[in-house]
Amino acid sequence: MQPIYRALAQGLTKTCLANDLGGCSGKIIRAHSLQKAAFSPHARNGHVYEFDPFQIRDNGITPTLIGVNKATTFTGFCERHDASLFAPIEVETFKANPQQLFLHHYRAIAQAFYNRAYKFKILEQALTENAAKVGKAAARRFEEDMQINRVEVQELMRHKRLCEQNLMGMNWAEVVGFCWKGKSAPDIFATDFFAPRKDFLGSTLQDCKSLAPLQWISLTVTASDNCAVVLLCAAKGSKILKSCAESLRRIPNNLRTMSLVNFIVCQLENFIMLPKWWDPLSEDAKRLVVNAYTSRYFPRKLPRICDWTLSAAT
Amino acid sequence: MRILTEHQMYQIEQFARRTKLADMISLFENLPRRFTVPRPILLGSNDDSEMLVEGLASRGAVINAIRNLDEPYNPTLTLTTTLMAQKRTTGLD
Repeated sequence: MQPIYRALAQGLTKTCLANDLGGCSGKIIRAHSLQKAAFSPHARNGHVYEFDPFQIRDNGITPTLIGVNKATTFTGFCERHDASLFAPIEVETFKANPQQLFLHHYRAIAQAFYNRAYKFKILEQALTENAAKVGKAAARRFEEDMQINRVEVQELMRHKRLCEQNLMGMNWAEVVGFCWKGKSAPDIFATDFFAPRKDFLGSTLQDCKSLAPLQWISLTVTASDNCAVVLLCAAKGSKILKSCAESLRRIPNNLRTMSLVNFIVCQLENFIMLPKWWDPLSEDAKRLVVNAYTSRYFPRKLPRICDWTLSAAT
Repeated sequence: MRILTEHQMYQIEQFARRTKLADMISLFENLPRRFTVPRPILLGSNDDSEMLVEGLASRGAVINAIRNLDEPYNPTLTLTTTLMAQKRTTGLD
């Protein structure tokens, strides 16, 4: 068996990323990076679609169904921290208050950190074991990917620690955010913390090829009262956040949702799609979305396949 | 093995010079997983070198290279890097 599948069968690392806050219960659970209650009512037979990078078929990567109990989860929090830290965004009604923006942002950071610090280890191990077999060019590309990942882990660790200090001090205002609300439920739910190369209009924001520290933001798409909620957050003073938010504002109302979906599909790693939206799409539309996801280049041409009537709330 | 036509190669170089990376990616997405490029063709610039593709090429590797190219294309570079695949002689297992 290839090491990657052996490691996946054994399960990913279980750890509590909030360990530094103290009071861990010890029992690590599958923590949802998105509020399950927001997307599970829209699931089909308890399932939604995701792109699983570990499931590549003969025809490439295609969306696969995943149960709502597993979708968007990671084993990065203990039961106690998951329940207590995120109660204001899991249990309480979304009001876009500073604490809620902060917690959405922190959870996106935690998930991004977990993916690079723990999930990537499996890939790194598999690539290291197969390095001699894949040829020099491929081995060099893998080594570059691993180097980038190591740099990102260091950067994310810094963001996570800073966020946790502010969390302990309840300094919610240290994270700022912009919010858009829709008039219908989103067809895609997403959350990620990333360093954008471009804004929503496709203008370059920063040189992501550089190994110098980048500016990071979080993007979350969820639902409240069955209507789409889009959050763009970053540490206070972020210029990139302002530029990104401004670019989304400048997009005409009737095109805003598709610009957002284009951005998510091309650049984010952690998102799910609702079957009631994905299944009726034409084969051409599905192929374009899959190609956009696989190419990891933004922006791509996508047909207008959804509109949540988003308008700025903050 | 599919061989790129002169028209396709011309189109790719036009896209490269105009930094139409999305159009270039779309063109390659419609090609088979492996194809042959009969002469070196320009994809764009990447930091200090021009990126070319020639000979046996894989769709995934080409698209991977395109997404990292500079925007806009820098036509003043003197160094070149050529993307070229080689057939594996032994399997991974």
